[in-house]
Amino acid sequence: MVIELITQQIPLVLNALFLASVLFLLGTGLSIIYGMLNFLNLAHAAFLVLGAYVASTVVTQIVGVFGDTLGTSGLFIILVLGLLIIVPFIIAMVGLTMEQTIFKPIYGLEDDYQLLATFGVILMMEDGMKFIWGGQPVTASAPSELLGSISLLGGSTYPLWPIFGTVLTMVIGIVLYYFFEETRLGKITLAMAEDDEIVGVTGINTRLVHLQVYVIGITLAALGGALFIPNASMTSGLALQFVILAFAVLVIGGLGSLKGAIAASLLIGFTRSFGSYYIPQLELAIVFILMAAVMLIKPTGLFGDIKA
Amino acid sequence: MLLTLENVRARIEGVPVLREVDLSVGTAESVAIVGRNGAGKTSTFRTVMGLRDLDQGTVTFSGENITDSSTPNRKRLGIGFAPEDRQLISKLTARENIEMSLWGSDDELEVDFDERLEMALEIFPMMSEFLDRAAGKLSGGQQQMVAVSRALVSKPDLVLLDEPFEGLAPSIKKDLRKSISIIRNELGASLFIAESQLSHVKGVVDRLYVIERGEIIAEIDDPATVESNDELMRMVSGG
Amino acid sequence: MVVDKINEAGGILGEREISLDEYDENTEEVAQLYRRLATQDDYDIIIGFVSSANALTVGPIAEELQQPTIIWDTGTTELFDDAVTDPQYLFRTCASSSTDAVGAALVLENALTDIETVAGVNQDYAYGRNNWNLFSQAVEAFDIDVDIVEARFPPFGNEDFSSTVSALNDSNPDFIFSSLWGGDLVNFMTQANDRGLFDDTLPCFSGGTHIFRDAPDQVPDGLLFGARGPHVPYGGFGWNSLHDNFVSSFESRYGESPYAHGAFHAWQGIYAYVNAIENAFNASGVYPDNDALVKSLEGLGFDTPSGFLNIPEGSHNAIEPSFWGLSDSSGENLALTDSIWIAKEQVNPPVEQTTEEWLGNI
Repeated sequence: MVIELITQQIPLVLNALFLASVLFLLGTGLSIIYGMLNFLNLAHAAFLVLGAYVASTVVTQIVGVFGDTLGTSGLFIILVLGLLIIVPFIIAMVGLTMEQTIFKPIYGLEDDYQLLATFGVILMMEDGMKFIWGGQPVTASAPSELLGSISLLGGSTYPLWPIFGTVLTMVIGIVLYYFFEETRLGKITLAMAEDDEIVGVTGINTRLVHLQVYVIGITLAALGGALFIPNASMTSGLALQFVILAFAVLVIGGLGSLKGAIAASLLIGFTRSFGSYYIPQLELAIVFILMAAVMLIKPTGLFGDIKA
Repeated sequence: MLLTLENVRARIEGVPVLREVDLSVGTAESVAIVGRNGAGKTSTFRTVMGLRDLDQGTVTFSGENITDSSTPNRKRLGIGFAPEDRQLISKLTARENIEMSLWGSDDELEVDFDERLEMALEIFPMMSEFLDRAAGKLSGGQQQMVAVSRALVSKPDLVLLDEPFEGLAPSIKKDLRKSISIIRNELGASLFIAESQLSHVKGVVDRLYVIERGEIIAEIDDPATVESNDELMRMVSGG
Repeated sequence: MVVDKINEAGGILGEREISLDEYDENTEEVAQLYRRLATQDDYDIIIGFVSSANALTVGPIAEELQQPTIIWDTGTTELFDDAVTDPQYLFRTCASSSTDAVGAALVLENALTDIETVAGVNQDYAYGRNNWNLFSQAVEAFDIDVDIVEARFPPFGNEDFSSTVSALNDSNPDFIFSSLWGGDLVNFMTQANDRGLFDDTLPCFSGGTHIFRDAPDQVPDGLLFGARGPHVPYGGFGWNSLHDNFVSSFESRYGESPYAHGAFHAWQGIYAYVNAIENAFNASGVYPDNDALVKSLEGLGFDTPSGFLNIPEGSHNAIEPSFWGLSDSSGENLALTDSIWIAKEQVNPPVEQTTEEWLGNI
């Protein structure tokens, strides 16, 4: 009985970790872009959705071209490379174009206006994606199918892809940590979050740093979409769902804090996973309850020092 | 002239802060701009750095019109700036705060930071004790040393020091005065210091401007002869 | 496509071409849009609506403005049970969810007698709740010998079903009734396949055949599918020539098969209008006005690609038989085979009763 209860939790923990991974990739980008560039981009989550759509096309193309010639492991490696390199690259290009044309004029505005303007951008992006990929759900299950599944204690089957995605996200998290703590660009980014004026005074091209941080941020979101899609499907209506989750990470974790994004993603992932298992009635509400609770106890978020 | 401001006017939220500023700083010259708080000293410096939008006027540096050039560009042309409230990055160490000044330069690879830091340490020997401490944890005097060092290590042609003595203990002020003299005498850079206290810059600068309500109201070629702020005020008010 | 075909043949009665304007129902302002179309633009008929919420919004306005309106795809029984109880101008030319949910319960009674435990997964909004309520009421009303072990209502537009699937894996029912559709269905299927949910559980998706088009690789053989009526391009048996024509012209025009039942429902909606006008004209010799059109729609019956469709006399709601089949990828096209049909009268209330009243009094 006790053993059964414990084995029951294993898939829930794995579900929670994978959900947390996607949320971390989504929320960190939003958090650093807001924290360091002071740009509150509601449309950030749409880059995850766009990443997922592009990933589905990339996967389909790769399977179409290499599907018959490469073995299972060869195809899997190509697919993963496609998801980790081609997808972020395409999103970075799209994102840069949008930065130059749409976002740049918004930077100077107050937060409220930025929110309104970028909300409009979400609608634009949603329609654009609907135009390209149609209103029907798209999938890209090949990477997950190639990887297969394992049997957990207690006999249930569990797909390997979410586990793979979780490990990959941990690696990305470590790389990010190293980036902020150890590299020059990381330090400049931290400095810009604190005082971008003085960074300019020391002769650093702040605009270039700004672009680099922005690209890192949306690339992370795109990676979130690329890791998400093999285990799920994407429809354009989901963008708003991700917008809410991205802001939940931001509010719960605290603005501009990597540690906060990690903690918030895990917290939401576990609450969501266990909550929707044990109290399914609260599946939607649970994230909001969590947000409200954190804001009551610590309005700056778990690790933030800026008031949300 | 190394730096020239001509007919500069600027407003903040509609209120004029610089009404008509004309001034210049020569090569290897030390100049002060003296005035009360709010008279326009900081606005003048921010204008030099490109941090203030101008209504009109021209800023020329090394013979080049830099009125429309960006702040990082001005730094790269050779202007080092230690702002009034120091503006150190609290999360980075003192060393990193100083080094940041080299990160944006074009010839970065050829510059040896350790050598430059050595130069800064000759001016502020005490700094060696706290180089690896986070800047947010330093005392006001220590922060000032870091801020001035940051402005110096890229070997600029012109160094702007905005109220460097403010908030410092008297003994530290004395040290800083000595350090500024070293900068002036040994680095060959032009110095432009904003001050509210004449005594701080007396004997350090070759020339001074008096600014009042955003206007240069006097230029004094021989500051050594002026006794005190009071006398200065009497002089400029024609009393 | 359907309208083009009618117009190519000369239009209604061979002379009146239909001029078609399209609007997106996915708007916050569906009531406003509807009012504008009905009052300012003076359309003879407004045909459309998929979303339950939109149909429930528009229904009462149609009556208020006396605007002939055909709902072509919405399933909720609330439309004529609660929102518009005495319809004059509002019609529905597809089956209500009663066909799907009561039909699924009857499948348990008639065909899958070894099923003991049942669970439900339905989206948390009008359509999903309505389906589950009808299904569980029908299980009770027909005294079907199964235990309902779990009822889950994931949010509409949900990115993550992993824990819902884990919960179903743990309660391990023999049968799942699900009205999931769209991205939610594809998401659920993907995550359920990954976690082996269907290894020992038979799911029954009442309106899910669109996944044959959206994600064919996520459809294992042998799952039970319905299509909100008998609306599949492949499988079943004995389709008429209208069906074959419709499927092949759909395929040549759109490059895919009409796996989503909406295509069939759209056909029914437009032809209900065309047939009603032609019948009225043939009877009276004059082109019908609104009232004549409405009269002609009442009791209308005609052949469709999915068989004979009728709106019973005294009702404004078409009824369709309940149709089910097992997914089968062995042929050239994904199909539903081993099909089960349940007569339309068995899965719908008599004209004078609401679905609730009917299920409560069996």
